[in-house]
Amino acid sequence: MKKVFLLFALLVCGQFTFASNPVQTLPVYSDLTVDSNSIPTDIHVSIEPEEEPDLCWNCATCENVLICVYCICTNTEDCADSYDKLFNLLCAAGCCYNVSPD
Amino acid sequence: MKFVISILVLLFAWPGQANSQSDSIPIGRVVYARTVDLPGTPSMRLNGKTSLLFNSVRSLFIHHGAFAGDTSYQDDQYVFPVHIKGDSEGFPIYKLHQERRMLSKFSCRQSDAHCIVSDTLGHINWKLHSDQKDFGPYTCQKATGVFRGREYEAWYALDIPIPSGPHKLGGLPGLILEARSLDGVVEYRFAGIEISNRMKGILQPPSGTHLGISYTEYMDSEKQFFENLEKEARASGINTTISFLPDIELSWER
Repeated sequence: MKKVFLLFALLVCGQFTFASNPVQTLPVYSDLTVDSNSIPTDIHVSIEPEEEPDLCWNCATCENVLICVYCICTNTEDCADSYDKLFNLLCAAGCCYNVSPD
Repeated sequence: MKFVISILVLLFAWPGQANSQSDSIPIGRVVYARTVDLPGTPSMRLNGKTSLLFNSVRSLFIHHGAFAGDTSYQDDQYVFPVHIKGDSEGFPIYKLHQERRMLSKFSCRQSDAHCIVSDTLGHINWKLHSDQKDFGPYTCQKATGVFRGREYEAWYALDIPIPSGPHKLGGLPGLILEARSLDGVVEYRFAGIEISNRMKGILQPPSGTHLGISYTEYMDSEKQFFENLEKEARASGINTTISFLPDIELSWER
């Protein structure tokens, strides 16, 4: 009986408290700032990675040394030129012997 | 028989018996089958029969499988044919045991007559083992040591007290009759030995262009040259890489 009375008293007092302060004021933000910690991190933006250009290698040996000249495969002009560049490097090393560019 | 051979060796090989003329006369020859397995490199030029002519003071390592003249072949991974220079002398390595010095001849970009540089014989820090193995009439002891980037297992005959062996190996208390690198790339397989006082051949320095420098100095200068060539090429807009191909010797420290 005592417990029921206490519970009743608490309910009545609580109602009185809320009723005495019926309007709650909300804070007004004049300056909107974004807290970086509040930015959700589970948003996935798909960005295509920049693809590595395919390299075309042209190599030749000069005694115990390997000389390679490379070009971007899609750059046909540069790639055609790389044979000559390689040949010139071989000759600069004293290794053009009897080879000649095609 | 082994005793007789050993007496013969000692008679001819004893340093006190040596003089300038007999220094050039070999008293024996070991034959090795050399295989060098370096895929993607022109290492096949190194394969085949090799031999070491020797007496107590000198020895001469020769590659009989070397091409006598120049040759070239097309390898799909290279734009231009791979050019291999030959040598009628078989790219000899001439070793002076007491001076601990070698003269080695090799194909080089500086001279069509091939280059000759000096090198140090017997600077390998060998570890001697108790294992034994017979090669022909000789019982050999095992030794292991690192030579220019590869660890070798060598079998040497104490009955032939000559500090030489295949290629630039040496510095053991007996002649090396078989050797192989533990990475499986280089092998000198024993293929026979002959000791005689009527041995054909002569122990003489190789002919070619003496550069007057050591192998270490030569390789240092080559490294410098190709680094500069690469820098200059890149500076002029050529995208290039220049690197040394793997070989029997992976490094060139003294």
